[in-house]
Amino acid sequence: MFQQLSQRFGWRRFFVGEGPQTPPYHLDRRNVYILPTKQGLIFAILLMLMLIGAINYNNNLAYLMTFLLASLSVVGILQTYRNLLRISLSAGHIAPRFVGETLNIPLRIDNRGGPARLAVELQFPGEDSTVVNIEAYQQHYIELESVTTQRGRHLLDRFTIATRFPLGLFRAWANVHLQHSYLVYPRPAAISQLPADSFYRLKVRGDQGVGADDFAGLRQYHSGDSLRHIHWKAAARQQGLLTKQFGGDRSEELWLDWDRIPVVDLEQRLSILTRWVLLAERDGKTYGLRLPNLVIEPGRGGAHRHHCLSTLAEYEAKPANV
Amino acid sequence: MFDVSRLPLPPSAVLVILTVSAVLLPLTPHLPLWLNVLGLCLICWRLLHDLGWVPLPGRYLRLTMILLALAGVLFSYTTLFGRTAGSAFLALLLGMKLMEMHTQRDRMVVIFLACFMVVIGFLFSQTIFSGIYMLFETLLITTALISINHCPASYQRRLTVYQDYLRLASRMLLLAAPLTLFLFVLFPRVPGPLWGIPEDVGGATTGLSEEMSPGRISQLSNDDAVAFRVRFNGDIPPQSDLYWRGPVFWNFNGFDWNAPKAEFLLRLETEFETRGPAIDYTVTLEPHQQRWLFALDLPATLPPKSRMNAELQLLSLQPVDKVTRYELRSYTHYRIEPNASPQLQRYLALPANFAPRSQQLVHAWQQQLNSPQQLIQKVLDYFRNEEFYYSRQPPLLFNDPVDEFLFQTRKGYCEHYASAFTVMMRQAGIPARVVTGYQGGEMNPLSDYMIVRQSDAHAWSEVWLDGLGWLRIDPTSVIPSHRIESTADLLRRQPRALRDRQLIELDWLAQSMNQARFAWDAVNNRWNQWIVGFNEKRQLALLSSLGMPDINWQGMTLLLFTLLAAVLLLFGFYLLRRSNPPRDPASQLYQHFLQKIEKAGFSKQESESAISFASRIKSNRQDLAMDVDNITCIYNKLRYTAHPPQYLLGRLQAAVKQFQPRRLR
Repeated sequence: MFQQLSQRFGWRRFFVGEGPQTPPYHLDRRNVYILPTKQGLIFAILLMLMLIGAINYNNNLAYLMTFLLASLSVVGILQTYRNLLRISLSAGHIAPRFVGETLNIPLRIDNRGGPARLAVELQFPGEDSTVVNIEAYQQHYIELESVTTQRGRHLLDRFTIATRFPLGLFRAWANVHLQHSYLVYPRPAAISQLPADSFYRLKVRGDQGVGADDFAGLRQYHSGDSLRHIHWKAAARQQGLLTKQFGGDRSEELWLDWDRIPVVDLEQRLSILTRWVLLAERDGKTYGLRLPNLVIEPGRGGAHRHHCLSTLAEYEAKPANV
Repeated sequence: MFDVSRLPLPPSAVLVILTVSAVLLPLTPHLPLWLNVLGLCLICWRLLHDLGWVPLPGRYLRLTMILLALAGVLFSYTTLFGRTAGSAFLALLLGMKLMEMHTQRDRMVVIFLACFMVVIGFLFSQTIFSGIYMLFETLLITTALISINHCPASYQRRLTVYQDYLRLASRMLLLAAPLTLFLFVLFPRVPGPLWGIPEDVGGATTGLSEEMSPGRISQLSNDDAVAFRVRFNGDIPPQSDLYWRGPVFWNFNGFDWNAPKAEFLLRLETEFETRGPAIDYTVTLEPHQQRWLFALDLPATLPPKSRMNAELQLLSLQPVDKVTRYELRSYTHYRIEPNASPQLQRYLALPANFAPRSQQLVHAWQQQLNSPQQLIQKVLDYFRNEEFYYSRQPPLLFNDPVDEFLFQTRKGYCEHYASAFTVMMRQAGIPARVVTGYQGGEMNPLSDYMIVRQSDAHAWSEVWLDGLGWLRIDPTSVIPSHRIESTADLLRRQPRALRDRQLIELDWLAQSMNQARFAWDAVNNRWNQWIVGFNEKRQLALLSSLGMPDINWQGMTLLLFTLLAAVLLLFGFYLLRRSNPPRDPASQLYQHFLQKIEKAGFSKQESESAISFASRIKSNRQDLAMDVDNITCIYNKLRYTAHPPQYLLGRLQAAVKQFQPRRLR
């Protein structure tokens, strides 16, 4: 009980928020804060000057104007606060990026429960802010950008959502920390060549007629065969449906081997392996990955590539920044 | 309509320029011409820059401009402080800031300066118009602030943006209004200035003057401006008693009557005897930049922060530079200083060899008559019986204003008669002085107060007689009606009842004009009483009439904060409440349909579309099929086609209305 209370009133909440929350993150009275801006303080000084003038000259219209402006700024507090209240935030899938690339973070701002929110600023620490106008009773989708610096699986950083609308005298903000992770692959090394041929190992079996490169013969059509492989000329000669068979699936397997890299540094090794994965995939090779205590069987295609790259990304990485 | 037309300027640029122009406008009559022209140029320059036609001045040009302009202000006023110089300086600052306004922060600073300019303007004028104009200015300021803080990257260059801004600004002003009212009424008022007010507050305005020079001015203005307003607590005294005492002159140099400031003496003890009933009343005095306070002859009390001088004139400690209210008690029947004193000598002084013909005449009369009373009567008879005229445009008098008036021109207004009469009294050895002020006043028929106008300004004499003290003699009043030139003056003389009858005889246009004038004056009076003249006294009176008779400033502060908190809580609930999206009419009608069909035993699931719901109903109830199909079809058309025709809504309404499903047993 006491711990809960001290957590609720702790000053940490004020500066860093409450720690990661499972999305969606609701902005409510407990996590939206508001303070005067620098301009707001200047305005307060101005109002004091006006009030002193009004008292000194006993000028009732000056009193009236001072009070009107003061009341207006108080109403401005409510308006600014309301501009953030009852928004929910959640993040979409964040596509993995290599270190040094810019991460695109898709955010969904759910404003189905409120009027239009104008001039709302979203900002990751150290990044430029993005300003959005959110229409009334709508969901708004934006993509924020953040530069990646470290490989591995990361939790989405804490970001701020803030607004000064309408008067600019007060700034309401919330620290949003979503329980949402993303992956950063290692930075690919600046090399352009795959390892030498000696790393290839020939596959024992091959050319079983399921490749796509070299013509290997004909067989009877089975349902499910590709229409493009039907021997149409034979069909036209009333010889029945025949399917062309191709070879070429007997290509070599490329092993990308940790031990073959003549560099000691862990990060550099991972960089080189990353580049190799990219090159192998580009050249349409079948490749496997061999790391100390970890072997990925050879394969091809996007899923295999992602598997390899994410393994490299998370290999002996520092734990995620919780 | 205007949605698609793209505007050439972002709203914030337009609104900042508009705001600056609006706040500078009321100051233009008070600033020198060159500054007005400069301001206009700066605003135009900014506008042209925003349109992308000209660049802003560089740093050196800007510096040169501001130094030159500062030198100009210094040259015009010899100072940068005080009201006029200070406002010129601030206006200059605001104009120059337009030349280096680049960021959002700069725009905010410009708007803040504009707020200050509005308050500066109130040092010059606090009329009802400046009050209304203030609301307009505040609306502009709010709208400008909103437009500045709406992100520049994504604003839409559409006219509707202005509408949105204006709507938000006016809603905020509306919400601010009750807070402002509470603050205005309950903020504890501190009496008196915190420090000395600069001397230059207020320029010269009309009214009475510090000296009187009959014959120097050939035309008496007929200024209908209000001098002050009076509310009597009891009966209104008769018109013949309404002499409002103002500056008293006793020093005469042959041309001018005045009261040397060096001789300003405080009255410590007055031999003062009152008779008759006391008259209690409240005066609301318009600012006239002098220290005179006007009182019904003769005041028996002193308003706060005022004194009475040796001539029994009320003087405020500060120049009257704004509407001032004070309460007084007067007695119209009195006797002052019945015993001779050495001070009386100064009421006998005349320049040597002055007005010899008048002197002769007075001496001749003195031979015949044996009492001062008879002599006074003789002089008044002389004015009444000889061909003396009351004229607003009398001939000028050059060498000897008294002799020329008495024996040659014989045309003049109150000043001529009072001056000549006083001189003649002194020639006869009777102490005499000239009193200026106002005579009369008219009741506002639409309200319960009296208006005294500048055109009611008057001058009369006071003579001292042994045993009787000072007596008021109004020599102008003896001029018979047929020798009064203007009808307005004639009207002024008649008793109130007679005057009203003559007013009725005026044509309807003049009558309604008169009515409008009184109505307007009543509004102005309210404004002066409740806004401009609101002070700690009014505040206490208002609060005690609201049931808080003994409230002190602590109580007021407590009440103020309680009320503010309550109102803010209310606003908080209103503004921060959960709001649901406005339903479109088709959905509302469909909802109505769902309520009806629920009575027949069907309720729509969240996951069901309108069509699948309809087919579920149809499979169970063939009799409802046609109606349900119809309603579902129109509803879907209204909701999901791009631009549904409006008549469909009416059809849906009719269909839902006629739909009466019976429950099956």
